[in-house]
Amino acid sequence: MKNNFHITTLLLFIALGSTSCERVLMSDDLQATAPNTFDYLWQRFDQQYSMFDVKGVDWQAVYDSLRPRVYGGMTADSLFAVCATMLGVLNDGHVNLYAGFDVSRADSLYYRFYSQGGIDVNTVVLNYLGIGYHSTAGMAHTGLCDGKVLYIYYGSFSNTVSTSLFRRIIMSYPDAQGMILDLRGNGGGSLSNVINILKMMPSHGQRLYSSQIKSGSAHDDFTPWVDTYAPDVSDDTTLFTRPVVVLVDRGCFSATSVFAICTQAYDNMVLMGDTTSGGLGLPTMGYLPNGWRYRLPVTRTKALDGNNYENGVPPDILLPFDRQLAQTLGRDNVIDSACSIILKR
Amino acid sequence: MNRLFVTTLFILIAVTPLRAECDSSAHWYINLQGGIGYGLYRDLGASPLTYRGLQLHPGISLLLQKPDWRYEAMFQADGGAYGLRLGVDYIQAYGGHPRLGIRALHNVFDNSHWHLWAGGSVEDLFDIRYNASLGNASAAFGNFARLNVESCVEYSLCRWLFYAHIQLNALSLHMRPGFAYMDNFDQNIASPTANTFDQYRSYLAIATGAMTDVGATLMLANGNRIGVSYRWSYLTSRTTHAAPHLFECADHALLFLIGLKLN
Repeated sequence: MKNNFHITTLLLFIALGSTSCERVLMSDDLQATAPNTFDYLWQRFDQQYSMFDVKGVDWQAVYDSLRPRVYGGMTADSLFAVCATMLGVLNDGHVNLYAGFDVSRADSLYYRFYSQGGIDVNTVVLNYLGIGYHSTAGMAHTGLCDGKVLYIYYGSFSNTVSTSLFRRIIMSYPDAQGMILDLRGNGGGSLSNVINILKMMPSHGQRLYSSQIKSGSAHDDFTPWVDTYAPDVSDDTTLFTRPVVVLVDRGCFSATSVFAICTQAYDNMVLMGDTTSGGLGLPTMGYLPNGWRYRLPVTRTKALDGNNYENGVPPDILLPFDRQLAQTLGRDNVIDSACSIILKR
Repeated sequence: MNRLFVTTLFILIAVTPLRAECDSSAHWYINLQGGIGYGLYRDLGASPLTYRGLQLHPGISLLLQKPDWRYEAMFQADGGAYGLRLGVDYIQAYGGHPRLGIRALHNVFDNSHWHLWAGGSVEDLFDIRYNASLGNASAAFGNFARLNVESCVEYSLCRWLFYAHIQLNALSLHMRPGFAYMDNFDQNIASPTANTFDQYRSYLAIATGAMTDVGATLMLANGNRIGVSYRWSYLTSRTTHAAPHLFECADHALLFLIGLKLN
């Protein structure tokens, strides 16, 4: 009886005493000082960023060079500048730092896009799409060369396109001998749309690419490679087996680059234009102790040929955009060449 | 794992009434629970900061009360809106976890006033977190299958029953996203989704949670009962290899209970 009373008392004591136990179990939040914020950001990238090998960056050296510039009590603007400089070393379009007053980005990528972009949208709209083009699910499309070439301009993989709508576009051009899928300037979006488009291409279960995910704190801690295969095709009768010329340029990033490496797996697809800006890793986001957010890729992708084209997917046919031709004669040399390829086949 | 628990739950619900038919000392109750609470959580995969917020705690359980044994099949949930204030900014998040469980307690001591129960429970807890400010990488799902040891001490006085209940997690199998708030939408191209979610699967993790519940129940003349209790619970994914993605939460809840006697 006495023992049971002791047990009972102990249980009551534990029950009542544990009601604030989280103060013991959960550590205090990291203080939002400038050194803590900088160190935390550096550490998260050190543990999670998946592209150190292809970027060739000595992350410890970056820390050693910038850390002395961080001190307690520095202004938010100054801290943001140092952090942005650190992330800028990675030159990665999937890397950003978001503060309430500014967003850091891979400036050189954007500069290259605007300086070397391979499309003049005015020329495309005025002289190729023309008056009366159609717009379906974010895709502008028309027939070129007397309807023998289906031209589709898809400006963003963020615009949802279903397989059925893409099929509808294709069925609207029964006389087309081939398709130009113009992805120039397409900065990416959802991989779902990549798959929805590929579902209309001939599939025999071929491998598209392989990917792996960061799995530990060391720079080379990754899961095993996982293969991704061509999506199942439900209706073989409407597949587009005719030639497809996919146009890319430096403005292509992320999901668009994924689409670009997928073309390697299809016999009827050819990639033409300029090298993309890469961005084959899938990004995630997180918060810093001071409430700023960061974004970074945590996966990496290997193309069918075994290469990691994180820094850019090269085209099968390299054809730089002739901006002068576009601005003087209103002609797009890349589209014209794509038409020629299709009509010659 | 969820399927296993649901199947076991239904078997328990279906079979035990038949046994109880032959046992006049067995009493069945349906317990309805409602409550409000205050909770906090931290998910290092996405943020080093602690979110705090208000919660609702609905629940329902089927209780079989025998002189020496007590069996309970439970569905409980908590969910709420959480927030974090940083200067003039306010970060909003949402989260919660439904859980299915089965509990068995044995009466190890009994006298006219004091009753001591000991036993255990198995439960499966599915955790959901949503933080809109993380854009298209805003949702995280975790799963915790747990084996718990429990003890409950009761003191009966007239028609009142006062109790203190302790639950300690013994073993846990849990899965958290390899990278919390991973952009799952962009991963549905293939199997990397499965990899992401499996990445921080922890087998047989030890001591990853605790719960205490102190309350009082009033036995009504018609056999039903009503009660009120204060519950504290703590849950963590704490394991060595998942340290950069530690998830932990603690809840305080004021619960109101209605027990409807079925036989």
